[in-house]
Amino acid sequence: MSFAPSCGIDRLNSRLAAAGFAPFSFQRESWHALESAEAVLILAPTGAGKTLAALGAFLARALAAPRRREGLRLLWVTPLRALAADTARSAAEWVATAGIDWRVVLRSGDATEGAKRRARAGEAELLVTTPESLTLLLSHEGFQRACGGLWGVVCDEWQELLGSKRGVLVELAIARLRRLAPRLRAIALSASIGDPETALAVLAAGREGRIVRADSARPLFLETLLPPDPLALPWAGHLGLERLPELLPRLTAAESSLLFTNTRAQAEQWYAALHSVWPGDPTELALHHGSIAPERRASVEEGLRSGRLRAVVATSSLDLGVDLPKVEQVVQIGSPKGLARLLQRAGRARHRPGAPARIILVPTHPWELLEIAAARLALAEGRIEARSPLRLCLDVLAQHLTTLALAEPLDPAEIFAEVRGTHAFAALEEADFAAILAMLEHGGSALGRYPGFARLRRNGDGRLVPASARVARDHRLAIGTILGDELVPVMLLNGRRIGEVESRFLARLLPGDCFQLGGESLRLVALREDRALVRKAKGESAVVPRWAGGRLPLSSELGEALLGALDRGEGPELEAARPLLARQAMLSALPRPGELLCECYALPEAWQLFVFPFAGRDLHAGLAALLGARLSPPPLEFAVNDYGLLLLFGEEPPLGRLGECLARPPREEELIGEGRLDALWRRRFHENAQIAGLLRKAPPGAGQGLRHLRLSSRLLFEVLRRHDPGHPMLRYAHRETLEQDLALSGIRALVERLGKARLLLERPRQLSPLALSLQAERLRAPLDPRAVEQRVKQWAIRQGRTP
Amino acid sequence: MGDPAGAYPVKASSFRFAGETLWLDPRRAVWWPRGSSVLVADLHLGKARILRERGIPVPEGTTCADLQRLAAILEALRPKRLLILGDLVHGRPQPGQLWLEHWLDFRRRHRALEIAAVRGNHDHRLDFSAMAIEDWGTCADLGPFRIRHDPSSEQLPVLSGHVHPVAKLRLGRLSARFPCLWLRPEHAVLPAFTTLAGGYPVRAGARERLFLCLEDQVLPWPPGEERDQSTRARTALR
Repeated sequence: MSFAPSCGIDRLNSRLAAAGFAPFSFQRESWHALESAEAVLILAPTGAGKTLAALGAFLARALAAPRRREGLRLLWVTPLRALAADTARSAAEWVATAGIDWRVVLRSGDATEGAKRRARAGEAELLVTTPESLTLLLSHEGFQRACGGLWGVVCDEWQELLGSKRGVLVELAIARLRRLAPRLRAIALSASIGDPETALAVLAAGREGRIVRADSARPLFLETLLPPDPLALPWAGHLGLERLPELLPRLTAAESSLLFTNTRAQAEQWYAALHSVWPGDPTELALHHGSIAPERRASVEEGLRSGRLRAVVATSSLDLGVDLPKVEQVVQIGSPKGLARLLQRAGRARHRPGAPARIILVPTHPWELLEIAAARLALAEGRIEARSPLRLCLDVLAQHLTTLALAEPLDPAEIFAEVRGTHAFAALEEADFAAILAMLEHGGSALGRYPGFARLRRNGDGRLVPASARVARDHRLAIGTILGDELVPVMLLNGRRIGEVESRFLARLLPGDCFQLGGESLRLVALREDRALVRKAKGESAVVPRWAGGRLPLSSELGEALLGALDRGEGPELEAARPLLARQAMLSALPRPGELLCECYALPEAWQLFVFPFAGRDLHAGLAALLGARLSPPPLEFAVNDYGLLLLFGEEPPLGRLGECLARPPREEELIGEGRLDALWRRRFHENAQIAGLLRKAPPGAGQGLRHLRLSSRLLFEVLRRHDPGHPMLRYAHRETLEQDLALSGIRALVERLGKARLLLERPRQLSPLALSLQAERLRAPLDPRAVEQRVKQWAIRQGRTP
Repeated sequence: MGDPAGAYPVKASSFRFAGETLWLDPRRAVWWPRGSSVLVADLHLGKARILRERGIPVPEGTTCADLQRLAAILEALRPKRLLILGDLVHGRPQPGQLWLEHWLDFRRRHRALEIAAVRGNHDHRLDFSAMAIEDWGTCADLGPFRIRHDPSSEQLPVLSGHVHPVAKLRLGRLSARFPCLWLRPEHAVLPAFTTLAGGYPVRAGARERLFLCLEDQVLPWPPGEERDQSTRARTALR
């Protein structure tokens, strides 16, 4: 029997025609693709009609044999909560247009209790959900049973999931869904993606797949709001508020504008600044980011759709999906840091067929002119980031195994085969799998049992079940791979919720202090265990919370284009950057392809060595590790940005040996090892341990009461290293540090390039513009925490001797 | 037994409290020579076990390492008495648990030592006699000062634990945390003896000092005995 019988497709076509819709050819192609292909990747720009392309075959199938209350048929997974609500709405409209009696239910973190219950019981034909909520649902036996009748799963904005651990979570979930419903069709949707074949391979996982493309993408028109004097911009600035007076006339001239910022703190500050100078009605302005209460976000989205709002400051929370036909212009504050993101954001403006997408870029520090020039060059050369999917994420595997064990007793051999069926774990070795199972069962490495450890245990027939109801409850609270500090809800005294901030930020405040959230100035009244009570403050200066994980790294594609832009770039941005480049050349030097610029500065009690390979911050961190291993005396601390790296020395650095340090290819143990780069390893472990569930999150509302049952990842890391160095998560974090933080293969290529480069060793009398930009970098890390501890200790002891 | 100077394996530091001279050993114990007593707080024995039962994979060996450290201190000072300022255990001991065996073994090896404890929030219902420890209730007077677990105000000067004080030192952008003794005019808070606990960052206020435990030596902080209080704001301690 065909997947979507032709009688169903005919009926769908006639219902659509009756409502005045004529399906595009790529939509019809998508419906038919599902006949033979079990996995279909649909590539189409935003607003082109992806929803109907994905839904059509399922609607037709339902129309072929209409039934009431048939149970769960289609899962729609979307990476953004904002997108989930919008998707549910537009899916419901298509369902209604097709005249099918389907219940469309939204299950995301923001869902109501009733929706959560209906989702768990499978009381919906179409369920819209997020990767985390889907995983949570799979931990319930009832939901897995309801999935038996599933026809398909749709993954929206697939490029966002690929290359992240959330994507791995979705891959594992699909593997389980395929086992529950063997004829399941998987569809992925994407607007812009670097490597479609890989993207499809991840979805298909060895099954037959097909790619359907809509007609060509829109051209992009970049406009830069050039600063009158780039050297007058602050070096540290990624905020860019001083550009507001220049931008304001552009905003007031347009009917509606969407301003993208790169961090939530930046969005808060831009909103406040805009609010204070906006000549019109202040209710025409709004703010949208991930820490604002859901009902407020929804009202902003509604305001954008209806055209009520004239300017909205947003973060990546509005990057994707949500249809915004009324938005006239898009503004990007600061560098977009990636080509795909630039295209995505530019595409948010009003979509007129044939008209190019436009975006106004507002550089906030001088070197961003160069980044924009690089983006222009890379786009002209047709480059866009390819997402390389993650493989063998053992921390996600540990979480997934626990999740599945909550739903039903887990047979190790069966689950091994199921997991190996995914793209991410196709190469999973039995030994690694066994080690993870042993960790969940006994706590430690395969040989060492930790007495009293309880997470999973074997039942009578050798299957794994949760050791207690408490394990199950704790695990459900911890599902997901997006980590951050704990978020504390912020509420007015009347109980109205404003949003949420990180507990670490709140810990620095005292009652009476003011802070800014959701564009409002708030005074902290009291800090309860599970919430912060606030009152509106009038006209007082307020601090802006900084949420973790805020800053976007420059994509490696854009990083690579930087040197190219210096060499052969053209356009208004490079013209504007002339004085900057001239100053760099005057104080130090401007590197050309085939050259490596290093600058050394003597400070009181310390030396700073800057190296500028222009290879993006990830590779720079790896290079910092390598130089740390090869230089003697070793550097104490490093900082990186997208242009270069900074090493801080307590003694004069051995500059003469720099060339020789770059002449040999790096060995693994030089990048990470005893004491070396422990900070990175520790930070990875923090993430891995949380994803794998080795550490408990405080349940909401638990407050201090359960504090004694928690342990910081730092302490656990130290204890494991001392007492069980072979622990699987410790080893896995080590591997991830090498592969992700240090980008081992990338580092090898970089060292090879730099080994051949001509060294330009400069000792400028004052900080060069490139050095200034790196100096201003806040993200610094000690190379070796123990060395830092030693240094602080020695300094403190010296202080004690000479009062 | 006198001052831990000379051939003593680590560099201890003396301080005056309630008219008495006390010494802080950097391995996180206080020595009171006149009372021939070693004082420790917050051992949290068995914490690893409890964390394991909650699914946090803490390996074996932490309790054992802590008790070895305690034995080394006792070996160097040979006191008459060991006084525990509460939170000896993290949860109720179950017969047969490994950490309990380690404790009983420790107790057998120090048969002649008097061991007494005041109760902390973690051991308020513990049967101390089963662990061969004298039970002194919630607080006890030792003449010049009183010992208790939590630092509530008292008539007499108090030595307590509970807080797990740590000092956070900053040198420019570098920072490090060290467990410390928090010495206040009528009140001294001991560092937590266990290594399996985070700390509560404290700063020295007016007429207060911190004594940092740097593994092999103690460092009074802020440095300089007679430092003018008003200059303290400029020190690097945050």
